[in-house]
Amino acid sequence: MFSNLPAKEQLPLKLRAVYELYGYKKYNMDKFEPYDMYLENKSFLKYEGIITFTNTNGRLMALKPDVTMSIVKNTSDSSESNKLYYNENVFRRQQAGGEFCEINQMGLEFIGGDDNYSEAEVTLLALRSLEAIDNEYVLNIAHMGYISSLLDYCGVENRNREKCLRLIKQKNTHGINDFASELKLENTAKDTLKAVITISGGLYSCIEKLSAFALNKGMTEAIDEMKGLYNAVKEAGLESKLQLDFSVVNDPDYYNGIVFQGFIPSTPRAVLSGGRYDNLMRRFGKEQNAIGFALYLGELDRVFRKTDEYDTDLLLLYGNAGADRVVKEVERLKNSYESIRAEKTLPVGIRARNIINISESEVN
Amino acid sequence: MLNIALPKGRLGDKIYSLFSDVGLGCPSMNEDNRKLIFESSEKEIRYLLVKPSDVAIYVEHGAADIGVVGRDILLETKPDVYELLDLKIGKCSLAVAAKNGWIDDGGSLRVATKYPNVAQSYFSSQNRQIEIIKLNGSIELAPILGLSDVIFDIVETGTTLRENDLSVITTVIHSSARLIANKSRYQFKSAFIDNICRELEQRI
Repeated sequence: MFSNLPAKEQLPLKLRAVYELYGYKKYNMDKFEPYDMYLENKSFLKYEGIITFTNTNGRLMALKPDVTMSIVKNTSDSSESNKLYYNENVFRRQQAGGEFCEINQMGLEFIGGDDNYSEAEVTLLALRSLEAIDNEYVLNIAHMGYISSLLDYCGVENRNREKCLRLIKQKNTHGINDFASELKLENTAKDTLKAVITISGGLYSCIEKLSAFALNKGMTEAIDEMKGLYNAVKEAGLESKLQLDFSVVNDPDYYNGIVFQGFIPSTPRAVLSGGRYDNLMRRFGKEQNAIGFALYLGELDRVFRKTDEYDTDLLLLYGNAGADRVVKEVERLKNSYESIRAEKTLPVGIRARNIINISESEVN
Repeated sequence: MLNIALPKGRLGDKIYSLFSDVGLGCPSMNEDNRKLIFESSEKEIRYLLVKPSDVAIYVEHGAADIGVVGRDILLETKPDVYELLDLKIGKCSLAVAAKNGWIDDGGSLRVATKYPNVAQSYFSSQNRQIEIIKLNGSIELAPILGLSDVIFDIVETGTTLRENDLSVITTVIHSSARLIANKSRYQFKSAFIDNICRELEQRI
């Protein structure tokens, strides 16, 4: 229906249609949140830098750097589940040290509900979202509960976990060696840690490999949960796009359970990121569990910015012809061309596939 | 096609010979010319020769799929990439050095360095206040001319320090060349990249 719109503008429409189909409602972020809310949860925001201003009461407010926290804060903590999606412009620095910019971000949150189903549905919608962007894509998943039980098993104390997670994110096995000898971890612990984080690839075969590393209750539960997720996604026929990869682990202060990141070949960074964030809910004093993801549409700008061969399909030159004549011609031609640009004289720098000249002088 | 970013210079030559040992040679690399891109269409690889400190930037932004860069640079710029392998060549250390006979009075230090971030985090872990003087080369000159109290720089053999009447006070971090990969490209070329890692690992 909107096939003549640029791909960049079609995508949000396509995604909204997918989310609406699954019964998600649009969340509009029309108010601003106080700056201290973001400050307290600074590390939930992956980017540094927030634009602030004072509101009419003199309170320091933030120009929305993020939508998820606002949804978490503003949904009532009832027993009902909430399924919401958003399409908002957020304000943040594009990269560390970069300037502030306005970035279009879409995302989806499933708050409350049954853990197993919400996980399956959100994972499936993440896959469907990637599918709408590119035919070739992967969704890498990991389980925060598995990782924290693994670190329990290996005897890595809480204060050293941040460093360990950073090494896992880098797939840095030689770093794990140094880390283990620094902490004087036992050799079996070190080898287990290294063996587990190097397991990556198709989810099904990786779950098989992981079963050898179900070394405590937490690990076993997490593996079962991933098995359940795999079986659910298989019903939709998208299971081949799921990969296990522990390098997608996220901040345990906010995330627990399944976490994931989506990749397409044409962007250098992940275009989708999300997971179960019950811990964030608790920080806001909410009882319910929640899972969701965000799409970084800004990453796609360059992919979509393919220069067309022509600026317009038809250039209609009308010269001295009257407005009625031009309108009549455009009406007559509009079904035969993808786009029609009417100009009085031949414009400079416009590449047109076809040119029709209807100027009076030409006719006479 | 796999794009491999290598640092220009002596270290790059060593790394290239390691790659060619595992069958990833590119005949045109041996020609003595000023080209920066070398391609072997049969092996599906392309080498890019870039400034050592830029390798991580090429890889992080996906202009190169993989690359080789020193750990010192990774620590300084913290790029969001996979660090797949320690190649154990190009070994050096990051160290604090000062003029022979310099006495630490315990006050605020003026530190000349190419590595302002690593220096800052090291000295703050030591609870030491410092003033960074960011230089881009010939760091050893700074304490001689009184521009700084100490320097925070890479030390390979120590010859430059000795010849300039400086010596190491503390060695902070050991560094060597690391094989890094772009996070997105890795997802779609993991078989190729993992294979290269395995082959290289056997040679080191």
